[in-house]
Amino acid sequence: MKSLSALFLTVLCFIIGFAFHAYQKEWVILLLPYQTADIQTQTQADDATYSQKKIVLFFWKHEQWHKEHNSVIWSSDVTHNVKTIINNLLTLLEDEKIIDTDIQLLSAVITSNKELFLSFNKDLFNAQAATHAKLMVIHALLKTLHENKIPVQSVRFLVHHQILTDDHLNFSIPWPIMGYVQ
Amino acid sequence: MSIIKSLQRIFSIQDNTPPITHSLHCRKQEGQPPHTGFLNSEQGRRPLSYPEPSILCNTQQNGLHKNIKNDRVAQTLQLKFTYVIAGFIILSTLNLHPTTNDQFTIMIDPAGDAKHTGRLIQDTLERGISLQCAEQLKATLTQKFKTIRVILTRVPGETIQPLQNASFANRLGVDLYVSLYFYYEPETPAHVTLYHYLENPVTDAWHKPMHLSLYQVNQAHLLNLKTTQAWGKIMLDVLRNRTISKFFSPRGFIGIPFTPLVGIKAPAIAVEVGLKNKQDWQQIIDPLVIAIERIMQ
Repeated sequence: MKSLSALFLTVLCFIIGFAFHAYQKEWVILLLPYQTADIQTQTQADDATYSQKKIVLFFWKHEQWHKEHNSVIWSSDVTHNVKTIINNLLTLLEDEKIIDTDIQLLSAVITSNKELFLSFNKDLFNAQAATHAKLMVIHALLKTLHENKIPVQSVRFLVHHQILTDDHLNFSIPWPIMGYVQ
Repeated sequence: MSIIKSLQRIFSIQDNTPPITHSLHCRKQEGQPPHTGFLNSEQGRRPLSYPEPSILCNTQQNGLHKNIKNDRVAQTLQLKFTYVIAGFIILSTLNLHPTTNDQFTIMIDPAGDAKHTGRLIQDTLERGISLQCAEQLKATLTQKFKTIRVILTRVPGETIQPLQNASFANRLGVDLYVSLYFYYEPETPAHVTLYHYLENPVTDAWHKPMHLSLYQVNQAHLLNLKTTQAWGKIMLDVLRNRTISKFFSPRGFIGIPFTPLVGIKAPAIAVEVGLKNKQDWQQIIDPLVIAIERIMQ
């Protein structure tokens, strides 16, 4: 009788141990009900909110502001919209020979206090450019975001997720969405 | 001199002053050189050499052995003491009403340094042109105004660390800080833009300076923000005047987070000038001198 119960306990421990090991190694995945519900909700929301929208892009050239309209796919995800707007603007600035080629926005994140982090793949400015020209590139970005009603209060500029460094402009602080130039 | 004489009278040492630590005995005996004296002290006897001990010392008059009173030593001490006191008083007076405060101190910061070459203007680097301009501006200002003191932040070959200029300017307590920048601009007329440091365009203007409080480096500009803005407008008005500034078109006076002006307490203005030819920097000297003259008024 004793040997039978010992055998039973051994088998039980083996089964429990194996199940735990399988969970640890992710052979068995537990998907709890609330997680399933969340994923489904988000998928439904994502599907529902894509639409076409006209955006307005601003740039400074020949001592005055110019604007251009563009059609883009608009989403309920604000960061997706920010990426779309900024990359469209960068293409426009490149066409107008205001900035160097192949500058892209890598990622955009909005924090809870409405601060937008923009991370680019390379420096935005030409090393020979005047401070005013650099300032107006930044203001073109800020003005475009503001006019397209992106709900942020300030913007931080990064290159490869590090603070953008410049000899003249200080990017270690957040830049207000309204900018400095009236 | 009247002060010194009165001080001499006040601080004159009386004849009956007792000997301080040592009793000075002067032996004037036959066969002994007249100029030799001895100092009795705990360490023993050691010779003293005075030019005329016979005048200095009175020994054993009327059968009494007196302590020798060295009148000349006393007089010398008295004079020295008087001069020290008089000097101290004069220095204190100068410190209360320093003449140097009448001087208007300007610090000029030419862009670039030994490591940072700056932008390229034709075949010349920005650091060279800015230094030439700063030296010329200094020479013109010091020649024209006696009450002005001009300091340059660097000499050729020097490397400037971050915030070094700000620390230098704050320690010296300069009245105005001017930073000079140049870039190549092919279009005419070339532009000139004035900048001052601003972090928040809304709340910075609300700040009320408090002199007994700690400020962060990036808040130092708040202490003299209103003066900076007023002086910047004066400079901009001069640059807008076509009779004074014929060659440059001013863009404006803009408050931005301008890195080279971080941490400076004094009113600090950066002047960025576009140049079509590398010699054109000479055209900005006169407008800047006139602007500084108006600021001083």
